[in-house]
This record gives sequence, C-alpha cells and structure tokens, in this order.
Amino acid sequence: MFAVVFAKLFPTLFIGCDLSSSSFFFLPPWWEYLKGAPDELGQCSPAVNFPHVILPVGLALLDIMIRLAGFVAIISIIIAGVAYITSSGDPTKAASARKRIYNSLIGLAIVFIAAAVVAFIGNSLLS
Amino acid sequence: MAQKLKKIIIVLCSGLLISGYLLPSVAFADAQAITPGAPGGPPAITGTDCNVANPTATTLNSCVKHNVIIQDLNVIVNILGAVVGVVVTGVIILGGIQYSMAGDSPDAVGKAKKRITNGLIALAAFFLTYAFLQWIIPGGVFS
Repeated sequence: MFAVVFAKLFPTLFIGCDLSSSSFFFLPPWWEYLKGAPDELGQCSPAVNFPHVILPVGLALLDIMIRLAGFVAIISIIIAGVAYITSSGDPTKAASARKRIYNSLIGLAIVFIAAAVVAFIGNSLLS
Repeated sequence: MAQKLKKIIIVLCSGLLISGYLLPSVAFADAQAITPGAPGGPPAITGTDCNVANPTATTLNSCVKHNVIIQDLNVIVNILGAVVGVVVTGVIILGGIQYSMAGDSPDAVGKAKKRITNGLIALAAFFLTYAFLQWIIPGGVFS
C-alpha cells in the first residue's frame, strides 16, 4: 500500500541485491521496504542502519496491521452472519448480530481512513 | 500490574532510542565543533562572533543556525516526527481492529473509541511541541 509513496521518498533504499520477499499467511515481512545488502555469508540480508530504518520498518508494520484488520473484520462479519441466520426470529439476537456487523464495518472504515490519510500526507510531502 | 509493566517498557524503549541516537551524535558534534569549516562539517562562520557587543539580526541568526545543540535538536525532532507518525497511525489501526472485534457490547466499543481518541491527543501534543520549539527559537530553525 505504501510502496509507491516510499519508492518516491527514498529511491536510494531500493538499490541493492534482491531480498526474497517471503510472506507468511498473506502478511508481508517487516523488511518489506528495506534494501538488501550481501552479508558475510554472501547471502542477501536487509541492511539496517538505525535512525533511517524507523520509517520503512514502521510502515511495513502498519501494512501488516492493515491486513490483520481486514482479516479480523471479515471473520467478525462471518460470525455475525451465522448468528443472524441462527437467530430464528428472536428479535434481540437479530439486533445483536446487526450491531456486530455495523461495528465491524465501522472498524474497517477507521482503519482504511487512517491508512489513506498517511498515504495522502506522504504523497503531499513529495510535491 | 499491567500498567506498571507498560510504563517500564515505554521508559526502556525511549531510553534505548535516545541513547542509541544521542551518544554517537554528541561525539560527532564535538569533532565538528573543534574544526568548523572542515569537509562534511558545518560551514565556517566568517565575521560572525557570537560574543560581539552589538549583534545584528543577521549575525544572531547565523549564530543560532550554527549552534551544535540546535542542529542536533533539528535531527532529533525529525526522527521523532517519523516515530510519532508511525505510532499514532498504528494506535488508530489498533483501535479500528478493536472496534471490529467489539461485537455488540457497548463497553468494548467505548474502549476502542477511547484508544483512538488517545492516539489523536498524542498527535496534537506532538504538533504543539513542534510549534513551541519553532516559536521559542529565533528565526525558526526547522526548515
């Protein structure tokens, strides 16, 4: 999500050897936006120099959190849908399931608005 | 107990962050202060002595710009800006996740709202700090 903003902000971070971008359960690794450097074994490992990696690593963590939020919201909506189906005419159960769906959608909206604001500010810093 | 643990972790992290940055930078700044005008260091101050009896606005401004403490402050605030931006967005995203997991209980929704409000308060506090530094240092240091 932040990759385009980031490549424009720090073009020098993208020069280097190719890091293997393995993902675990659709989640990106924390070195997603770091450049690779050959280590003493000759393998490509992420280059970490302290004050400059705060932003890349932080943005990678935010990326992970956005995907987690998507999973959580979808699972919550599925649970609420099952509760709605099995409410069998009980008004309180149906209202509870509806409330759960509303809350998961509101949570998802908050997450995406926060991410969009960060991307917008990053883009406006460039020009 | 959990509150205490949180406080200890925050103090440890900020201490590590500050010491990890400050210690090398202070040594670096000293080396620069000995030889102004050296390659890679700040440009030499010509004709502007900070101890002159009647400093003009120009000499005072140059004096402030070449102050080692203010140059370090600039870098620290820039790093802090990156940290605050990432952490505040992370807190708001966490609040969103909490909102999604709240189900239909108003208590959990209230907790999520409180988390998001606290994140926004932290952002406002950082901007106030930034504005205060900009105001108190003559000439506006942060470019």
